[in-house]
Amino acid sequence: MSSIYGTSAEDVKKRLRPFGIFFEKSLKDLIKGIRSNNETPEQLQDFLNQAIVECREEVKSPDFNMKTNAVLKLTYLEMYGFDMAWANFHVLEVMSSNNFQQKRVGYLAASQSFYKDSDILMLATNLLKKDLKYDLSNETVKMGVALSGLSTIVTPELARDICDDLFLMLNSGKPYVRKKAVTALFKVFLQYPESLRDGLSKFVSTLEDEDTSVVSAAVSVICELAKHNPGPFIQFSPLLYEMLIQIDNNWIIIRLLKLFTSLSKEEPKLRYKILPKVLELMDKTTAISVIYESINCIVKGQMLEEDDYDTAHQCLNHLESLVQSLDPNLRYISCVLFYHIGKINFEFIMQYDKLVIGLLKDVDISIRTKVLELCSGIASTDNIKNLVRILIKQFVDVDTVHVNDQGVQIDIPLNYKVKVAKTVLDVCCINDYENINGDFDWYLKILTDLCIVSQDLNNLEVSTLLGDNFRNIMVKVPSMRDAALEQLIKLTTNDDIIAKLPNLLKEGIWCFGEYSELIDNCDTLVGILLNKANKLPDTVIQTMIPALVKLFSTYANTEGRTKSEISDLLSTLIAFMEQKYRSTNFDIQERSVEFYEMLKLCQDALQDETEGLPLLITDVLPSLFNEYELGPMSHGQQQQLVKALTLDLDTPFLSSVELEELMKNEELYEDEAAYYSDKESVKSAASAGSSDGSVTQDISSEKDISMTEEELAALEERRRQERLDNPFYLNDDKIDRAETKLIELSDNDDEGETKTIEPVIKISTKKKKSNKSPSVQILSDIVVAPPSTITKEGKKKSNTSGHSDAITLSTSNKFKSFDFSRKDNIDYDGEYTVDQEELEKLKNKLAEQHISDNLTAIQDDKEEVIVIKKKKKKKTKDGSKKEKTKKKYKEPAEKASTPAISLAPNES
Amino acid sequence: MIHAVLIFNKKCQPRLIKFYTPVEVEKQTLLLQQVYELISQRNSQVQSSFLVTPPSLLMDSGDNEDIQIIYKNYATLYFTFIVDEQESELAILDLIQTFVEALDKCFEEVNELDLIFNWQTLESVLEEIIQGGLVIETNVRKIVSAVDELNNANESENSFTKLAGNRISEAFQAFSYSNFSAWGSHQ
Repeated sequence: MSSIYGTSAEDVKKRLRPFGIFFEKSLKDLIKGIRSNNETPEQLQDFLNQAIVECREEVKSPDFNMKTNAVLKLTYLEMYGFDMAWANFHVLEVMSSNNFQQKRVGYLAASQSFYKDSDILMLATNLLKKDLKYDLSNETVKMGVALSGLSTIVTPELARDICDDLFLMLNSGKPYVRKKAVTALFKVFLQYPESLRDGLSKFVSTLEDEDTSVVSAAVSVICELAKHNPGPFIQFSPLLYEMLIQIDNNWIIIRLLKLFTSLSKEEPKLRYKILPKVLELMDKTTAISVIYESINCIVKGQMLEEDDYDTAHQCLNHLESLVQSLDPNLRYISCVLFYHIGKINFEFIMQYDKLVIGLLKDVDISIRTKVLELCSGIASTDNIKNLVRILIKQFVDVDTVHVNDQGVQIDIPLNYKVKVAKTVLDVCCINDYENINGDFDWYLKILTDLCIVSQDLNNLEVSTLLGDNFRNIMVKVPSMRDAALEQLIKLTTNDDIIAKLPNLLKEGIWCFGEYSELIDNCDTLVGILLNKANKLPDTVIQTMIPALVKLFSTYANTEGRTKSEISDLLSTLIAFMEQKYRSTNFDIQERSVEFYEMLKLCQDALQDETEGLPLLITDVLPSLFNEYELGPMSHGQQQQLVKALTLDLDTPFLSSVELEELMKNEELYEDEAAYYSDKESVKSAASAGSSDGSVTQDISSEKDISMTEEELAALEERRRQERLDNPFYLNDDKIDRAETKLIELSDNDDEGETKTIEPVIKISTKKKKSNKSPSVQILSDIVVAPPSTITKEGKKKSNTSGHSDAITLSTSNKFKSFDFSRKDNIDYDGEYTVDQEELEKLKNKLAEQHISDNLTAIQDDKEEVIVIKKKKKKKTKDGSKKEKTKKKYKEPAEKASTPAISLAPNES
Repeated sequence: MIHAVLIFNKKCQPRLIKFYTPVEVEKQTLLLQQVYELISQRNSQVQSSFLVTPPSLLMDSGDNEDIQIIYKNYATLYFTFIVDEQESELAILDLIQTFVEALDKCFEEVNELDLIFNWQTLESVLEEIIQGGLVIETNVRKIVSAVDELNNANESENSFTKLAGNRISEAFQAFSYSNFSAWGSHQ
């Protein structure tokens, strides 16, 4: 034993020759070759291809040293992406070698390549059983190597065949064998759960083994099995509690905690037993890893309930110091746990706001990313400004953080910045701007800053969010409309911002239109917008068209406009609509055509009218837009309304009988079709006439106008009635009042206005209230439909769509679905049997493969022919001719010396 | 469970690839590439040892939510473990440390060059620490002595096997050299 740490060169040399000294040189040569041919990828690939060709030859060699060496090299070359499954049979040969080191190479290679090939495993079963055979003559090392190799290649058949051998090995006197057998049984149980059902108590007894490694292995196996199916182990929980408290090996304790996590998830009742034990352990231990895992167990095992403040604080107390550790690993994982506890109930972490804000400045971006999600939980009126300031500061490319008095430069990735932007908006908007506490001037500044810093994010989502937030302020906070509008105009006249944040502009333009009353010189704004129009994407143009008309409508109806001014603006707009109505975008086309016609009518009316403005402009046009004040609508309302509507979409208009009748009638009256069509055309002509008439009436005769006015009044009355019944319309007196107030106030105070942009857009500002207090009125979202569960299918679906190339790291097993309560269906016959016939078939198949392999090497082209020939022979001649065939396919020399004992079927 | 162990250097040259969960060889290579790219962007000095954004190859399948990639950087090498939630992060970090300590014991002041030319030792040591994805030993002394025992096994062994009569292996050998064709023709 002293030789383990012995420094003699001889010992070291020996240790470094695990697979024997014969072949070491050759693998070394290969590695040297790889190193010297590593200049370009092509060169390396050439070299590796050549190496594979050599290995293909060598592996067929009858010299076992050479064969083993080739297998070893192939195993090594798998690292470079060369699948070695084709050599499985050679691997099996090497595995069966008498030389232990060769056997070792064989098992190593097998563990890497056999899993794909159930045929070879069938052939290997005998060999495995022999190497695993537990008796005095078998050496520990051989069993160990076999167990290691076995552990990655178990199939259900193999598991059935070897489980008894493995159970026997649990009785071994050597802990080394016991621990390996226990571990190997894990894969056996997964593939052949019956074996665990029948040997459960035997297996669980290994938990009481005298050797720690064996106990550790057993706990690991049970822990892993419990992940797949905790059922069978719940009955042993008393024994496991004992262990948790008694044992002083941290590896095992951690494993036990993981096990309890699985058990508690399966059987929530266990929580009352487990939780006190875990808490006890947490207070008792000094090992940080155990503290961490205890908390992890409580959180992941769903033992922490929403209202369990005591436990939560006990956990958080411990976490608090871990989160501030200097070790980035500890900091990260405890931060993740902290996050999970916060997600259970934000109340738990409310008091840790300083800690969270501190973590936002952490040197590790992944910690910051995690903590960002907690911000909405800890944000309050007291810390919001500090929090947002820290966040906004992070919109830099490289941040410098001081760690141990050293400045460390860290790159701030783009996706992190996007998340920061969302978080800022999120924390400010919760509960109708609760955290802002009425300080909307500050929030507006933040929004503006955000717009400026998020330009280079090039992220549509953020630009949409920013737009949404501006719009929300406009809609929800009446007293901020003028200020917000002013900022919006500033932002949207900035070409850079328009290009980078198109969706901000979209919402901005909507606001211009909707709140055009607040703007004094709409004509200038229209001019600016039209100038930019050709640079804007279609989605923005869609919103822009109605907004332009709204602006015009307000402009024309403001006092002091001369007719020619109005007429000028009108023609500009008409020209724009004309240009857009050939757009390939359907929405743009439709909107521009509609408004083009409308504006044309206005233009005609304007020309005809001698004094004052036509009614079309003063009344009709504004009524299109200003009929109702738009209010904030709770998210998802529209969807729910659609669902709430009782529309019968299933019943056909006509039943099939009716339809048939109708068809008959139609046939009957076919002759009279002319009559009908005549009548129709007369009708339509009449209606056309009347509508024409009404238009002209509108414009010309006064008498008719009064008529129209009457009609309008009636219409208005009817509409109001409808409005009262219709949940879609918002009839909020409060809003109305607020709005009228705004309209009345005009140009009282211009102090907030900045005149930096040349075409100044004046905004009618009302006197600034001495507010900034919570007294700011915030319109809360209107709920019109009963709440219902909003479907989340969309989100979930996107998750499941897998990638065809993706890797799934889960072992297929039968363990998960196995029913341990049933004891009856014992379906193995106690004895190991492999279907002899099948085995023969397999051997035959491999023999063929092998021969054709050999022949390929010699004469590639004739391979097929020869195989066919051979088949013929099989049919016509039988065993007596084997000498002959042998000669035909034999490889030169060597084989004469090999012993004649064989498993060949003809002898059995 | 530990699904894979990857050891590679700062130029993405593989030093050891071990998968305990079946994954096709081409995907193994691809995964190594992706893991390397993600890790090489990180600052091991200040950032944690956890690869928080998993490589797309693992993320896309949707079934790997609990998979973690934990790595440690030693000089020119990255020791990377791909594990699931049943493994404790801190325990895995300890395990990597144990692994490296064991290697250090074997080589006496191990460096990358040692590992390049002694891949088989790397495999052997790992085999004594992890078996089929489960940890079997964490005691450095026991690990090293197990490796030694395996390496020394050959000398004492030969006579023994002859006595025992290794029929099956002989059968396989016979099978592969002389009786192949005989078999074929016999069917």
